[in-house]
Amino acid sequence: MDGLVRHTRQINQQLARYGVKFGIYKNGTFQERLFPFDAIPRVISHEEWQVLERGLIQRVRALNLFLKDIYGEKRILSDGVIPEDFVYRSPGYLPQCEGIVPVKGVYSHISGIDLVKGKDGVWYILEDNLRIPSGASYPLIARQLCRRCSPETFRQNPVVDNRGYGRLMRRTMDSVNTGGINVVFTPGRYNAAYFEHSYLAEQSGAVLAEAGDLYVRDSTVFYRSTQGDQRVGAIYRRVSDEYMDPLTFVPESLIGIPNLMAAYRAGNVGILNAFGNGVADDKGIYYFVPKMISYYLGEEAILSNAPTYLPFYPEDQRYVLEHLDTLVVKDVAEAGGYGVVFGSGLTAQQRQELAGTIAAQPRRFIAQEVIDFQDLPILEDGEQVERKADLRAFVLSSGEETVVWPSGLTRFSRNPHSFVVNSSQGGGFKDTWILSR
Amino acid sequence: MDSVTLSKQNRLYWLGRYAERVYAAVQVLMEEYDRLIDGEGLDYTAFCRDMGIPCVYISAEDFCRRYLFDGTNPHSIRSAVESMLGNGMVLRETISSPTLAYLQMAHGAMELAEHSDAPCVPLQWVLDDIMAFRGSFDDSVEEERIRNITKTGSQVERISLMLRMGWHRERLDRELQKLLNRLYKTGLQPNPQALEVVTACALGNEPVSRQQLLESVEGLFAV
Repeated sequence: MDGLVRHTRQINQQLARYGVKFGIYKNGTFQERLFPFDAIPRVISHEEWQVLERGLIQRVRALNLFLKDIYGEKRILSDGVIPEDFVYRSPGYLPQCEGIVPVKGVYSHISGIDLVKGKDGVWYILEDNLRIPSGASYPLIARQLCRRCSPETFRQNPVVDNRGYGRLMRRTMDSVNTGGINVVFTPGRYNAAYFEHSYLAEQSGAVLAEAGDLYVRDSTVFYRSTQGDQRVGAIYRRVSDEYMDPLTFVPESLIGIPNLMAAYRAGNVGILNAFGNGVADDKGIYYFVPKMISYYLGEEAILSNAPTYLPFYPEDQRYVLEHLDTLVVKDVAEAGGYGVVFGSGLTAQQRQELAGTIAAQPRRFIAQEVIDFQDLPILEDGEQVERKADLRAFVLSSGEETVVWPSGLTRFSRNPHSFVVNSSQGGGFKDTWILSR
Repeated sequence: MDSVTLSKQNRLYWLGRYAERVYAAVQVLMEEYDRLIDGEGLDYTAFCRDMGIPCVYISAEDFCRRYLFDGTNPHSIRSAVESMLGNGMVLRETISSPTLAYLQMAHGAMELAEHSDAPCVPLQWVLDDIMAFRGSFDDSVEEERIRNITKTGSQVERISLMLRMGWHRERLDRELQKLLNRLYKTGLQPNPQALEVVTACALGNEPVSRQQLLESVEGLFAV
């Protein structure tokens, strides 16, 4: 590992060479920044990974079954396992998807599950991302460049190769392809994750397309090629649900494909991930995932949720209001590290105001115990310091199998006093090593 | 076969144009930096006039600096580098990451040059990176038609600069013939009137004024 640390500068030069950046809008202008990389990897032992792998597969299988149920029979609601309110009032629930069964019944093909490891050694799930989770491209390219800069490190350590992500993605797309080309659909050059969109298209051998490149005729999607239009069989879309089809969702959207929903409903195109998945990764629904696992699979959840309270339930609300100074409160409608408030960081007056808002809109919030999660070492100005870090694991589900990519995006906070690791909030990333023995 | 849309075709074409523009202009400006050592300077007002860009400079030295590095000026080389990289970035899966990396490196070298007291060293890297880009592009892009769209862009830019600036006029016929040869392999449909003038000139069939030829070359793909 010392070899990697010694070559930090070269690795970062390589990352710059390949334009490993993310975009951010600041003061109304688009800026691209290099995603800060720390050479010290997160290391996960073989035994630990086996547990994580089983737990992640279990969780994503249950979430897929939940989505199928919610847009179909709704047994989990009629059986009273989840209150209807949490489904129908979720902004991620799309009534337009009612009755639609995607190709092979898979809803979340590429899931990003965020975890942290507590100081007690237990992994906790922080949140599920089943819509358009981003981040796989960064550890994918970083591993390639680390191997180049410090081959000795990888000769000496039994690290599972993670460079097959493009093939995995291709296999997942092919499994739901209805006949035609695979497409990665991007909002365009000025999207925060454009590097990722173009890199994953290249790695998976898909065509990168944006609005105007695709159109729907006779409930079939076509790619407008100068060599004759080509049928599209699967779309890995990196555009939010509401902008994907202006004839079904937001009519003002200029970045979607008019009538796409008709092709999807007819089963003429595979959409990765399916529309309407937001209902399952809603922060309010998170609380119920262990119950889903038990309900659909008849199993105990292998991985733990962070201890969570729903102010929707009067008993939980009482607890939350009494312990606001020690809890972290999350607005269920927000993402990307926004809408997260640590009670300990508020003044008495701010706490009182928050308590009032929670009491008035209890469905809008969840509250969690602050997990004292393990810090990871990072290099800062040549010194090794400890910072908070999480892990986003990527789980790929085809019609045939669900697999976990043996890697993941480890993000860390560069602020010593912060738990927020998102790149949009100044965080960096690390490679994630899974040991093969 | 790689599939391209009209918009990608357009980007491939402009990628070629901007890469050629940067390459040619950096070469000229490196020579000018050398002349400035001896106190001589380029007639920058004539340069701007011939190039068809506004002359907003106050001295040869100011011209060398700002024409190269002023990113707020859309006519600067810095802006051309941004456009070159911008067109490349949206073509990653067509041209490949290793090829795109050379554009990224040229962009990085341009930034280094801007902050260097000896800008010609990193400017040389800009030229090296563009040459490496061309080689990598040739090697990575399998489909000849796609390669030729970008090469047509380069060729149009080269001829446009030759005509505007009077550079290497003796090579004009050969460059026009190369352009027609590439154009034929792209399957693109240029403006027929413009193509007629360019073809006539390339074959030496009839005398064409410099201005008419310039307008025709620039008008090949004008909408």
